[in-house]
Amino acid sequence: MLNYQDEYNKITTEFGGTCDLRKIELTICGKSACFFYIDGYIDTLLFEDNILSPLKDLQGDMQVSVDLLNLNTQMTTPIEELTDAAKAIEDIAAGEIILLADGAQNFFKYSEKKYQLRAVAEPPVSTVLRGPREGFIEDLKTNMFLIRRRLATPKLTFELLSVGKYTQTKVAIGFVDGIADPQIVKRIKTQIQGINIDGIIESSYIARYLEENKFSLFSHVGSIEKPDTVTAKMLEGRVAILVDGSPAVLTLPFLMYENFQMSEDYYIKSYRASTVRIIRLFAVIFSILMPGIYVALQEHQYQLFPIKYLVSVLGRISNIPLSPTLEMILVLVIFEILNETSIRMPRYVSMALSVVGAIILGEAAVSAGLFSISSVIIIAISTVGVYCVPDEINSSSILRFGFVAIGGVLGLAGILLGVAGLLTYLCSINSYGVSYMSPFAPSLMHDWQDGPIKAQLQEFGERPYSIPTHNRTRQRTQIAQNDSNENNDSNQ
Amino acid sequence: MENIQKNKIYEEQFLLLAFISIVTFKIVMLPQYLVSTASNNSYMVMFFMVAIEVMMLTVVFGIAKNGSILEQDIPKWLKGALAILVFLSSIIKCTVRGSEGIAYISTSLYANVSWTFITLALVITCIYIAQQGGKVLARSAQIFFWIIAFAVAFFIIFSQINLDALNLMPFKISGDLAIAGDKYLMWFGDFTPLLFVTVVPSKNHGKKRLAIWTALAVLGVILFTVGLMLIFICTFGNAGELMGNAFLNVSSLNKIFFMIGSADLPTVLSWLVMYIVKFSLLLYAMTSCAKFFFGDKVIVSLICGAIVYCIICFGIGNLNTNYTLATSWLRYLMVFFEFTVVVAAYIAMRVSQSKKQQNAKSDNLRQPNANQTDTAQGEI
Repeated sequence: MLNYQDEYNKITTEFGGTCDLRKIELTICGKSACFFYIDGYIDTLLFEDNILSPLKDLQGDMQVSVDLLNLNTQMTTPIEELTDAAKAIEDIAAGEIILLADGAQNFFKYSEKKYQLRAVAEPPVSTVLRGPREGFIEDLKTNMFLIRRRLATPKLTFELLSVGKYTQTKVAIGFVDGIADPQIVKRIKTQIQGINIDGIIESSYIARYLEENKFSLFSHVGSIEKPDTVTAKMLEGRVAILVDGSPAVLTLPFLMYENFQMSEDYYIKSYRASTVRIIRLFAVIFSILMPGIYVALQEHQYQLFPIKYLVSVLGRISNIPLSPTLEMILVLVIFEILNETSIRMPRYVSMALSVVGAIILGEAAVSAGLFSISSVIIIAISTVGVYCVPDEINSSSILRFGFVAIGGVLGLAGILLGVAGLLTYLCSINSYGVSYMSPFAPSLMHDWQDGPIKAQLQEFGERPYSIPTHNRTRQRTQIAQNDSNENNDSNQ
Repeated sequence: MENIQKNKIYEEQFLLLAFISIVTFKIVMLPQYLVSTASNNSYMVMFFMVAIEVMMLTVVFGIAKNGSILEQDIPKWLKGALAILVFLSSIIKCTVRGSEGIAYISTSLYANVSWTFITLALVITCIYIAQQGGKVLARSAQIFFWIIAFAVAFFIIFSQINLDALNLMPFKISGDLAIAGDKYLMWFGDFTPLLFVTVVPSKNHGKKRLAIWTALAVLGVILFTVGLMLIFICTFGNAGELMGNAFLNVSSLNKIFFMIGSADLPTVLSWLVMYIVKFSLLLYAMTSCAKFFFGDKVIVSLICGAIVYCIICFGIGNLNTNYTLATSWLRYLMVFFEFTVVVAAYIAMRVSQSKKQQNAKSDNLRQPNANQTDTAQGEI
């Protein structure tokens, strides 16, 4: 049996006099009682109408119990009993309403949350011309619902965990039971449960803990802001990790090639999708290597320039005071500064900033003889190309610097060795038992249907071989069609 | 156990590594040397020697299917002896191949960089690749394959053919062929690195597809070696002995050569990529052997790399010294190492297998209802 005064003191002491802790003291059936909740977390109108007013009117000499509360309050969610004061305190902090009543056996928990949320809107980094425009928001329940709305099956499972000593952030592991590999689900769960940190502010915190190599330049965990994409990935056997407070949902296992697959590819004709994918692939390769190759040619292998272009290049760079490597690195740094500033600035300022940037770099710097026009053009093309695959912008930007340095020191042979080393590094990465470079290394020809050349939707008869799954069949119509064809053949 | 996982590769990956192993060093300097000794019939030398290599590779494949020689159930002293032999042959090959690669880079890419510096970068990169193990090496080769394929396709599309088949005449089989085969033995038989991988059947490919790939690999080997030799002779005739680099000189007929610059980048690129894989394979064999004695430590790989670097830079100064070394008595030693290791490993493996079978039979006689062991391979 709870001692009202002791428990009351325990709760108020634990919260240390914070001003947003609301305590509503009342008498229920002649017994002292108090509601505790955090201001701004709950729907106060509903609370007053459905819970507070009916309980205030209660007369008689009865012990406060769940049955009594259920009879006299109007709730859509059941009232929970909590035996532990620590759990009650935790729940108050998490936005629940806790009732403490003198002489009652336990605490009582009401859930009447209502707080301000951002509307479901199109994510700014994943805009599409064709396809759903819904994006995840910062609320876990809304995000779970957005997936559930697309996967109306009882097999869709969400397992809820709390991570962070102070934040107690809710993390949901979502997967389609019977498709996702239970071993991977178990491993992810163990990994998340093992996180011991003060707080999880965003899903990227969880992502860092799920990565097998924490020093890797590349992200080993997928990060998606659109529910249709997450649904498609879950249907391929992947596991989704939703974090309360983050609009980015993580997916595992993650393959390098996923960076080149955009949701729109699946909504347009495969010819166009294939063309765009090949362009993306070449855009990223050129963006990373072009500045380095240009520097290598200028520094060490100028004989490789066609003679007409060599004359033109020599004319342009003759008055430049910097070495080609230093010049390229400086132009890269200036572009990175402009890029970073234009992202952080308010939109009306960023417009002016891009004009200033264009004038300073395009005109003034070249006219002043600080940089050559070739370097500016190469970095401009390279920067635009990097944005073809927005998920890998961070690694691509760093790699550009690396290849400029290698090209400057070792020339083209160095660039080639750098590429070989980089590819080997990528081949050595594993994401939850799956090769990061799959389906190209190791080569899984079945999965090439969703590679640079995207096959027609009807040809996706089975789930990708790269992702472990317990149910390989994806399209029964095709199998049925094959069966009927075989029957026809045998009848003939 | 971790080591076995690190070195497990699929059948098609083995084929690709074997293709690169055979082809890489037969298309640069060797055609020139062969023509200088066996004149316009030197393609026959290439054909016979490559045929012997392919036959030996089937034996290597048989061994690798049962596991890396260092993981197999053979006496430890024998493993040690084989490891020493492979280590020594790898050092010799790394030295010869290393110098040839550096010569290629400096002549084809006009690099104004110190070649000792490029050698250092090359050895560091290849040691890194070798250190990752057979599995990653094979995966990397699969990615590199696309660079090679695109570069070669680019070369073929833009090539200008000016062949004179009469250069192959007169057709005669003379003693020169045997002399050439003997003199340039060092350029043949690079398959010992493949003894350190474990080949497992692919999960997703049937036998039919494997047969197609095997046929394609053999065809590729013939085209790149004998085919190139024929083109080389048809183009240059007996003057081929004056051509420093067969692959590059044949490709100088490429239109791109004149269009985009002074170097035939597709050819240079495709060969250098093959070279990186090949050199990494040699270092992989070398480090695997060293690790057998000193444990799986990064420092062992680094020391192996340092040894190779020092020999290339300070031991073999130029291509002439390299040629003298490659055609000296060392070639017999190298071939002895190569063939002895393969044959000894194969015999040891068969003896071990038959012993196992005998034991299993006698066990079955004693326990007729005993369950059979599942020897299914794990996933890669």
